[in-house]
Amino acid sequence: MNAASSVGGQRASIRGSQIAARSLGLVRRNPLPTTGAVILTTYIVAALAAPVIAPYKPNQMILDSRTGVVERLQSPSWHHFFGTTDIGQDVFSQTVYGARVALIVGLTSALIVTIVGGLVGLVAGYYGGHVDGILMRAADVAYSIPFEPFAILVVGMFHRGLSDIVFAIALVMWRAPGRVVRAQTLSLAQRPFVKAARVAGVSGPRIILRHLAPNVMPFIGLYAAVTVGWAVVAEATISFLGFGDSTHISWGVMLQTAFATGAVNEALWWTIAPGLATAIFVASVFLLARGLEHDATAAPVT
Amino acid sequence: MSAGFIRYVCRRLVYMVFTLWIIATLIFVIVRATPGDPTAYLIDPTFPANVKHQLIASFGLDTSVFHQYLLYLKNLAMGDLGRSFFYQQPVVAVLGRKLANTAILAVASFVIAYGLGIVGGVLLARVRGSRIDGIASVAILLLRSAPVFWTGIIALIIFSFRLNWVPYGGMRTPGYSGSTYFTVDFLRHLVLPAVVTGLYYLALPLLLVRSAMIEILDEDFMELARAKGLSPRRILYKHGLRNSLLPVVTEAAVYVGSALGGVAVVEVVFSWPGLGREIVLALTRHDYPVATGAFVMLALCVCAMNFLADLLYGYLDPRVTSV
Amino acid sequence: MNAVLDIRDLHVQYRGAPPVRAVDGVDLRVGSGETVALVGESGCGKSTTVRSILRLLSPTASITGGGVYLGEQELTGMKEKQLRRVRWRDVSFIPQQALNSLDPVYRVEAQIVEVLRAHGTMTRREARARTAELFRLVGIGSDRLKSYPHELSGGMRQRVVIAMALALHPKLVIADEATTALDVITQRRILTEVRAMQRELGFGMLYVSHDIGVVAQISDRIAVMYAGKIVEDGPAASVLGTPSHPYTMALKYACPDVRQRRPVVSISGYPPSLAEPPIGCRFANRCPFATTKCVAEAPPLLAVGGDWRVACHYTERAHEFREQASRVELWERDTEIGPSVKTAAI
Repeated sequence: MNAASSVGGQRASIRGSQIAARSLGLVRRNPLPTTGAVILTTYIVAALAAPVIAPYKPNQMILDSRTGVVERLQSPSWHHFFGTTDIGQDVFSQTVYGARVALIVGLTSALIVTIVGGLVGLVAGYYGGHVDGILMRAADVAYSIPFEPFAILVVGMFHRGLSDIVFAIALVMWRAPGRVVRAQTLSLAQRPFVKAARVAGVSGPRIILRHLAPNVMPFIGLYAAVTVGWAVVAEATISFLGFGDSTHISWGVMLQTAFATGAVNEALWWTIAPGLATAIFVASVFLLARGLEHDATAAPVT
Repeated sequence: MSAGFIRYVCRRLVYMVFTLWIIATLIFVIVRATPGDPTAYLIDPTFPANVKHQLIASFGLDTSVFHQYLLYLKNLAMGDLGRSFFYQQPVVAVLGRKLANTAILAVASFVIAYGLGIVGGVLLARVRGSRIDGIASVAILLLRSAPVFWTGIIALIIFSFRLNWVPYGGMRTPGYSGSTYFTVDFLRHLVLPAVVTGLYYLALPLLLVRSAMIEILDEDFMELARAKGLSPRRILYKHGLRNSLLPVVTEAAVYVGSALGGVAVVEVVFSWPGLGREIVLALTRHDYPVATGAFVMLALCVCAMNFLADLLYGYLDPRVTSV
Repeated sequence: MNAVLDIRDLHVQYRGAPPVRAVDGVDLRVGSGETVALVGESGCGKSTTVRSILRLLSPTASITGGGVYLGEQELTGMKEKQLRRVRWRDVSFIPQQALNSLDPVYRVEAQIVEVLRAHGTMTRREARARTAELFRLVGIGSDRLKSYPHELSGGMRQRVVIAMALALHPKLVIADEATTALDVITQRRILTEVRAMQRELGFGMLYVSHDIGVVAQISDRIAVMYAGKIVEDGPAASVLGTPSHPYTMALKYACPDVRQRRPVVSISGYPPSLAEPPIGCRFANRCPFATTKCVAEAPPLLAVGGDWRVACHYTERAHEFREQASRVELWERDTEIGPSVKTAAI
C-alpha cells in the first residue's frame, strides 16, 4: 500500500472513531434513546448470560421433586417467575433464551439489510443514470411486495426455519435504507470535497468508500436499528403462524404453542411474558433509532 | 388534464405492469426452486396418473422451463391462477370472496387508524410537552412495538373470553341466515379485529399530524384566528388541521398498501376469512396454487395502492408531471 | 373625551426564575376617534402590553396586576367565552406581516366572511356582500375577492387585513407594526387612508411601532415605552416637538431627517434585565444626564402640563437636555453617570 492510501486509511479510522464518539455522545445527552440503549443492553446481557440467569433449560419439562408429576400450567411463583407451560416448561427460562433467537435474527437481518441497502443507495446515488434507474426500479418492486405474506410464503414453501425469515427480510427490507441513502448520496455528491476527489482522479469505488460511506453512516445506523425491530416482529409473526423453527424456542414459538393449545385464556402468564418481552425489546430498539435520527441530520464528516 | 399529466400516468402504469411481471416471475422462480418435485406444487398429487398426465400436458410441464414460464404469464394475464387442490375449484373463484373480506377489514381498520390518528395528533399537538403527551407517546410506541397478533390475542382474552362482549372469531355466527355483510352480527365480528389493527397502524398518521400541527400552531395566522374570536375547535380543525393534512394524505395510499400484510396476520388470530388467513391455511394443506394465488392478489392490491399514490402525487405536485 | 380603552397599572410577567417583568405598571388611554402611538425599541414590552388587551399572550406569560377597561367592561377578569365575543367585534387587530397572518389555504373573501359569520347572524350571501363593500372601502378591486393570499401583492394583502379588521365596526383597532413590512411609499399611502377611515368610522386606534417617524404622521398622542414602563405620554406635537424625557429625545434624533442635515444618533448600551429590574430609573445606565438620584430612585410618571406626563427627575431641565440631545457624541459615552450633571445637588 502506498503512502497516500495508508494516510487515507488512518483518516478513515479517525472518521470512524469520530462517528462512534458522536453517536455515543448523542445517546448520553438524550434520555429516550439512552433508556432504549439501557433496555437493549439488558436484553443482550440476558441473552449472553442465559445459562447463568435461567434456572432451567427452555425445553426442560420440570417435575415436581416430591410427587414426580410434571408441573404443567403453574401460575407464577418463586419457583417459576413466569409460571410454566402446558408440558411443564419454565416460561421465564424460555423468555430468557428467547432473547438469543431475537438477537440473532435481528442482528443478522440488520447487517444484511443495511449492507445491501447502503450499497444500493450509494451506487445509485453516485453513478446515477441507468444504474440508478435499474436499482430504483428494483426498489419499486420491493415496495410492491407485501412483506408478511411474502415471508409466510417463503417459509411455508422452503421449510428451512430461521434462515428463510432472514432471506425474506433481506430480499424486501433493503428498500427503505436504499432510497434514503440514495437521496443522501445525491446531495453529498454535489459537495466540494467529493468533486475535488473526482478531479484528483480518485476512482469511483474509493470515493464511495472513503468519502460518501462515512457520511451516510448515521442513516445506515438508523435503519440498522429499525430493521432489528422489524426482523424480531417478523420472526415472532412467522413462528406464531406455525412456520417457525420449533427447535429454537423464540418468543414467537412460545406464543404459537400457547395459542395452539388453547391455553391462552387460562395461562395468562404464558401469553403475556413472551409478548411483553417482544414489545419492550422492539420499543427499546425504536427509541435507540430515534436518537440516531437526530445524528442523521447533522453536518457531514469530511 | 395536461399532456404532462397524461404522460406521467402512462409512465406509472407501465412501471406497475413491469413490477407485476417481476413479482409474477419471482413467484414462478420460488415455486420451481422449492425442493422436490415441482409438479407437486402445481398438480394435486392425489390425482390418478392419467389425469396427472393430462394436466401436465395442459400446464406444459413436459416442455422446457421457458415455455412453462410463458404459459404461466399468459394464464396470469387472463386471470387464471390455477386450480385449488383442496377446494377442487379454480383459485380465482375460491379467492374472490376472501379478497372482499380482506378489503372490508382493511378499510375498517384504516378508517379507525386515520380517524383516531388524526384526531389524536391534533389533541396531542395542543398539549405538547405535558405529561399527557409523554404518556401518550409511550403508549403509542408500545402499541407499535408489540406484534399486532399479540395485541389481538390480548384483546380477545379481555373482550371476548372474559367480558363476552364480542364473539371470538370468524365473520359471522355459524348457522346465521340472511345476508353476510352489513348486519349487526357481522359488525360485532368486525369490531375487534378492525380496532386492534387500527390501533396498531395509527402511530404514523398520528405522529405526522402532531408534528405538522406543532409547527402550524406557532404560525401567525393561527394567532390572528384567535384574535378574531373564533372558537378553539374551529381554529384547531378548520385552520390548523387543514394546513397539516398534506403529508398525511400523500403518505396514506402507500401506507395502506404496505400495511395490507399486517392485516393478513390479524385475520389468523380472529379467524377472519380473508386472503391472509387463506395463505396460511393453504400452506398447511399443501394447496400451493391457492397460497401463491392469494399472494399474487395481495401484491396486486399493493401495486394498485402505490399507483394511486403516484396519481395523487402527480395531481398535488405539478413539478412531477411537467415535461 | 370618553375613553375607548383604559389600561390601568398593568403588570405582565413571563415565567422564569426569576420571572421577567415585561410590563411593570403601565397606564394607557385611547379615546374614541383618537390615534395613540405606543413607541419603543424591541423588547420594551409594547407588544406584550397590546397582546394583554385581548389576552392573546403566550402560555408562559400572565397578567399579574392591573386592569384593562374597554368602555364599561373589564377584560382581564372576563371569562374566556365572553372575551371571545369581545375579540374582533369590539377590538380588532391589524398584524404586521399580512402574508403570514392570512391562512394560505383559504381565499381572502372566505377569511373575512368567516369572521363576519362567527360574530353575527349573517347569511353567507349577506356576508359576501359586506366583504365586497369592505374591499371597496379599502380600495381593492372585487376581482381579487376569490384570490389566495399568496396571489396578492404586499400592499394589497395589507389592505385585506385592514378590511378584515374593520369588518365588524370595532371601537378599537390595534395596529402592531402594521406597515413595517411595506415600502415607504405604500406605507405612507396606507397610513393616510387608514387615518381617513378612522375619521369616517370613528374608531380609536392604538398604533404600536418602533419607528417614531412613521407614527409622527398619524398619531394624536404618543406614549413612549422603555423597559416595561411608560416614560413619556402626551400630545404628539408636544412629545415630538419638545420631548421631555431623555429617551424620547434620543428616539427623535435617532430618526434620520431629510430636511435637517444632521447625523443620526445611536444610544450605546442595552436596556436592563427585566428579570431583575433596577430599583432606580431604568434608563439611568444609558442616560447621559443621569445622576446618583436617578440610579437610587425610580422617577414617577408625573404631569408636566395638561395631559402630558413624563417619568424623569429632571423634567424642569428638559429644555437644557434638548439642546444637547442632537449631538451624537453625547449618547456614545459608556458611563453610568453623565459628567455634565454629576455635580447637580440632590
